[in-house]
Amino acid sequence: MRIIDFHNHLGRHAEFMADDEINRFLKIMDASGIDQACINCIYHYSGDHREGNNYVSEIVKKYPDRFIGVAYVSPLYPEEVIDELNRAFDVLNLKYLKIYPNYLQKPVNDPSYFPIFEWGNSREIVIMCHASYIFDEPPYTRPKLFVELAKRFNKIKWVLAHSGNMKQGQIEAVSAAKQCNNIFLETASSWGEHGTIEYLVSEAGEDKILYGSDMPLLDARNQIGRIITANISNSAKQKILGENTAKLLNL
Amino acid sequence: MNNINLDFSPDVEVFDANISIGRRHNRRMPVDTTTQAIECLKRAGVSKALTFSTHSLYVDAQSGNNNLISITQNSNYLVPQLVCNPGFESFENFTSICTKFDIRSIRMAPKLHDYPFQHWMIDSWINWFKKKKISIWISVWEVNPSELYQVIAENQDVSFVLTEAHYRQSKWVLQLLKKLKNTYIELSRWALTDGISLLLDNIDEKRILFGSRFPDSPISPQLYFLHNCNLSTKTLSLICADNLKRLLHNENH
Repeated sequence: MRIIDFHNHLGRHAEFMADDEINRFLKIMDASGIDQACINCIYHYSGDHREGNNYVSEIVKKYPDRFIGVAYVSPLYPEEVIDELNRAFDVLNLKYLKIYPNYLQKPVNDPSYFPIFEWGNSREIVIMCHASYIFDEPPYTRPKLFVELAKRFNKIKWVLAHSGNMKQGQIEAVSAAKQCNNIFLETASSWGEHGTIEYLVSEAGEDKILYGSDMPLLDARNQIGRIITANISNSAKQKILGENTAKLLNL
Repeated sequence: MNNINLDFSPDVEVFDANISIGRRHNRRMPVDTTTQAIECLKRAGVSKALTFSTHSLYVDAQSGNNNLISITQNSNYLVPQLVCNPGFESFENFTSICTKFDIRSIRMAPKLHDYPFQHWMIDSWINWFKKKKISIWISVWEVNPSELYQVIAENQDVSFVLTEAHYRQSKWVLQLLKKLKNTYIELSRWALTDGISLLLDNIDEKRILFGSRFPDSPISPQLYFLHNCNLSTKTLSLICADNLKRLLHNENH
């Protein structure tokens, strides 16, 4: 079985006591049984998305069997975005795009994101976006906002990070995934109540759920434990832990 | 390729330091009966659980506590923990129930119950808990850190268990644990990266308690985490059950 962690970060972040010290990253991946981790850098110390993507690429080159690179762009710099997307996917060979509207302080369906989505639609890429409700205020990424986007930009495969996070958000996330074939749900969360994974699987379907840990904000051993100890079939666990991601990213 | 086992069960005895039972008035929980809760505990390999009433926490301590006592009285699985609301409870009534039913731990929730966690408000209660060697559970979301530090520092022969510590409070919780040896940490929301090693590097292993916060969190992921931290069987046993047994002063619970 190949385990792929869909959601991880590079960089340090004090609020979360997050430190990306790479040997510790690898140690925890090994202890969790994770073969490969998708890594993005949305809080590079330079504040420059290009530098963050370079850092991701550097780590992937150093550990090509362990890490899968993920691009990040910020619509705060619209004049740079398309060039950087072309470079990130065509030169650095990063595999999907992460966006984080909380930085922008505008909802995910704000028009400032549309050039990115139009580019993504033309390239039929995967985009993962933070999707959380009611944990984050204001609710820039509440899951129901993605339905309209997924219908309009229907060649993009949308991944809702955290599957909505809290129960109210999970209900919206499941509803969005049921309405749109191109919406998938990622599992990392420090909020999920008893039965969360079982709920996601029974409502959205085991083919639509992707295991992610959000390391180094959360420990992958705790997060993978949410899948391994869930009351679902072993075949569903295998899909969630890696098969679905491999299929989504054509790995 | 890895050899991960998809069927996990704990290797040691587990005594959960933090579960709640009871229906809620504002939403339907995935598990809301005692029978269902015990089934979930069994499935997770938990042999006992320190249990408080959600009604006690969110609505009224006295009526919730009374109901909890009736539910847990003949249970092999559920060990009662009373919720103490010093702003509304009768001291005589609360202490007499603690004595009658040999209650070994209580839970306080200053923010939810709208009272300052300061000596002029809680001294008489804390002094009684000290005399009876009753430990105090308090959620770190429920208290001002400065007030908490002051009360714990002034009562060093009372054991305080800090529950539900999340990465949001991790910085001050770690410092408080390092400074005050009469504090313990319950692990239900302690999911920060390498968080178990961080604790073991800074405080005695005897001050760490497994708790799940069930049903607001699942029981098993944190147990899985603990089982994959390369801990000795002794350390794992202390965290999963023995520390709690010792804290409750009652190996027979």
